[in-house]
Formats: sequence, C-alpha cells, structure tokens
Amino acid sequence: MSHPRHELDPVIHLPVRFSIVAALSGVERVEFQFIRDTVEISDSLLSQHVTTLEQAGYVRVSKRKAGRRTKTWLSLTPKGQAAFNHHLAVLNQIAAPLAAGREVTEGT
Amino acid sequence: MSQHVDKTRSQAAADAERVRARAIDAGRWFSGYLVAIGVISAVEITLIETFFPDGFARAIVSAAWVVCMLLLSWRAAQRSVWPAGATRRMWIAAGTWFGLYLFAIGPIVRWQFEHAVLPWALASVVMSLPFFIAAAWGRRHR
Repeated sequence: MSHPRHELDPVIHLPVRFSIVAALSGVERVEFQFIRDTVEISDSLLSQHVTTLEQAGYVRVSKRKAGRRTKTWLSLTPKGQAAFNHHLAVLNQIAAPLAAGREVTEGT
Repeated sequence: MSQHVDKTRSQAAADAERVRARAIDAGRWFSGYLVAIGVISAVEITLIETFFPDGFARAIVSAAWVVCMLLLSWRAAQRSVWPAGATRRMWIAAGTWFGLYLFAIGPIVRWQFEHAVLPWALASVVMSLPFFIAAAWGRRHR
C-alpha cells in the first residue's frame, strides 16, 4: 500500500473530471459553456460530472442573469482546490521517476 | 502495464495543465478592464474638478462616467472567465479610489490648488493607482 496511486482522489481521478477541476483551479469562476468547449464534452456529460463534483463539495454552481439569458457559472471551492493540489502532487510524484528514466535514456 | 498506467497519469497531468493554462489565458481581459476603469476615472475627476467644477456640465461629465462604467460592466458580463481574485481586486481598488478621492487626496488638492489642472491631473492618476496596481498584480500572479 505504499505506492502513491493509493492517495489519488477517486472523485477527480477520472480524466474528464480532473480536466474540469484543473480548468477551474486557476480562476475565480468560469462559464459552463467555456468548460464544455475547453474539455470537449457534451452539455449533458458535463452536467453529470459537475453534479458529482458539486455533491463532493469541490465545485460551486451559480446562475446569474446576463441580459436576456441566464449564465451558469462554475467555481472551485477551497475543498476542491485542496483536493486538486493534492491529486496533482501525487500524479507528479508518480510521473517523476518516468521523467527521470526518460532523461537517462535520452542521455545515453 | 504499471508503466503504461503511470504514463497515462502523466498524460492526464499534462492535459490538465493545458486546460488550466487555457482558462487562465481567457481571464487576461480583466487587467485591461481595470486599467480602463482607472484611466476613465482619472479623466472624469480631472474634468469635474478643473474645467467643470460646478453647474450642469459637471452633472453631464459625471453621467458620462456612469455610462462608461455601465458599458464596461456590460462588456465584462459577456466574458466567460473571471480570473482568480477578480472580484476582491475590483472592490479593493474601487474602495481605495473612492476613499482617496473623498477623504484623503481629493480634499487636500482642492484646499491647496482649487481648480488647477496639473495638480488635479497628477492627483487623479495617483488616485487611480489602485486600479493599475490591481491590474499588474493580476498579471504577475497568473
């Protein structure tokens, strides 16, 4: 049980969810459609993933009026930010030996 | 097998970084927005304190400033991404600008220089510094 993969967060482990959280991690809030286009998924699939993230307490969803239409905004909660940072650190920990191995191979 | 899984994970990390960078780039507009507010506010204060210190013209200039702010806000509302700390930066800058004008620099310049253009132009730029600093802070902490 010493391999770092055991520390990976099961909620954001899925690549799509991880990408959603990653997109939200460096900004205050992002419109639903921007995430949909950036992560390249459908409205319904994004909606499902956002619901899962919201239930885990990682993402906050808010709706605001913008002219005649209502915009859906997504933002990362402090809990979500902490989970993302930890997950990323674990991924980097896993990837570090790979990068080192590549450097050795390229160096020979 | 294990190495393949690890490679997939490292790919996931790289993809996440790409997506994150794209979102951050989409929030770059906010610094320009703050600079625009600072410049328009500096011009407005200079005009109402020097060329149009009283009367109907003062009200017109103030109304023009309000219209500019509404247009900027409308344009900001069209954006899809708000950068980290955007709301906080905006309120701190606006509050500081207002406080400086109402209670600190504004009264001193009015008392010492009355309606002289150069002192008011310099003072209004200084009062707008919170907006410029907030814009620069956003660029640095990207």
